[in-house]
Amino acid sequence: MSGGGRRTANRLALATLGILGLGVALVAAWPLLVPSAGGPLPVADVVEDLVAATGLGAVTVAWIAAAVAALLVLLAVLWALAPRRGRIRSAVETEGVVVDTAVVEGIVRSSLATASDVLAVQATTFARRRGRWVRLKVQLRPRADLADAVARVRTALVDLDAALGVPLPAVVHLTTGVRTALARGRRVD
Amino acid sequence: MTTPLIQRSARRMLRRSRSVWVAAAVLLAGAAAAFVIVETVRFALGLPAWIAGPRAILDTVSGGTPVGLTVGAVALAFGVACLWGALSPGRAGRRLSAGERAPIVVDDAVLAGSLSRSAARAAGTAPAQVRTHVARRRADIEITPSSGFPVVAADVQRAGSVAIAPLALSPSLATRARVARQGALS
Repeated sequence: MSGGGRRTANRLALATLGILGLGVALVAAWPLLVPSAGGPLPVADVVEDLVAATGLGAVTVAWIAAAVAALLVLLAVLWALAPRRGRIRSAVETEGVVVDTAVVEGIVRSSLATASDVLAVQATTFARRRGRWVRLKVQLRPRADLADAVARVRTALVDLDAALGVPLPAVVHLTTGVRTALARGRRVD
Repeated sequence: MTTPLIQRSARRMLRRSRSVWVAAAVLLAGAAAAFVIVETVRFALGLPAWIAGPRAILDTVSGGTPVGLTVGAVALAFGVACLWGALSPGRAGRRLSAGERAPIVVDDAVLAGSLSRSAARAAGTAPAQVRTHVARRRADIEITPSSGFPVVAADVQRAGSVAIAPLALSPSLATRARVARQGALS
């Protein structure tokens, strides 16, 4: 499933669970919400009528319901806890040459070694149906000079293209993190 | 080289993934469903109920009893939380700076720090005397001037705007500076 499809499915799953939760809440609160109805909703009677309408015995229906519910729960849990897919090790594969993501990370880190506001660089390659792309996460110092950091990152990308010989599809993420919290800001002159 | 794949990937980074939210919701709902499944299987095997049989569960939940109302309250909170997760925009507090070579996604925290730096420089104060709060469309810069050294808010505001203008951020960000009435000894 693509990233966008997975996100849509996540929202649909949340909406379904939300509606189920509100449904249970409505059934539970019915005697309080609608006192004129003369008592609770006859949910158990409705279920028994449905079971009788199937023509199967109550025990058989119980087995079928339990099996279907167990299967649904198992599938839902497996789907929700499935590891995030799409991350791969190689950033470039062209004409028999494979370049590992760690190499890309090393080149960018080396280019940014003299950038005083840059604390850390992390590269991750994602594979999609239409190709692969690299996310370059750059952690900055507190109160970093953003214009300077952006200029240095753009220069680093030029260095990366020159080193690899091909322009690498990339998205740069300027962010903060634990190292930012532990680092000191540079002096403002 | 900003291909459609790269543009879409960068835009996706502006939104938060709901995978953790979904995993938690599915585990909670799965635990409740597992209880009902166990009781259903015990009923099918002809064994006595562990806590309450299927019929008793339905009667308790729908009967307006204290236990049923408690279950209803928990289900209401769960349902509202799930619907909120499904329908809310899920903004990640990031902005996009388009570039010819590669798009740059900038955290609002990074922007706030950078604006504080520009403001401190323009106001001639220590960085600790500047606080910046970045909201959806506007960054509020609050400066506590050093006593005896007045600060012009318009200058600080202009410095902030100049600092972020070259980035052409999306969503765009306007800056507003406010100078505290009382200064600080520094």
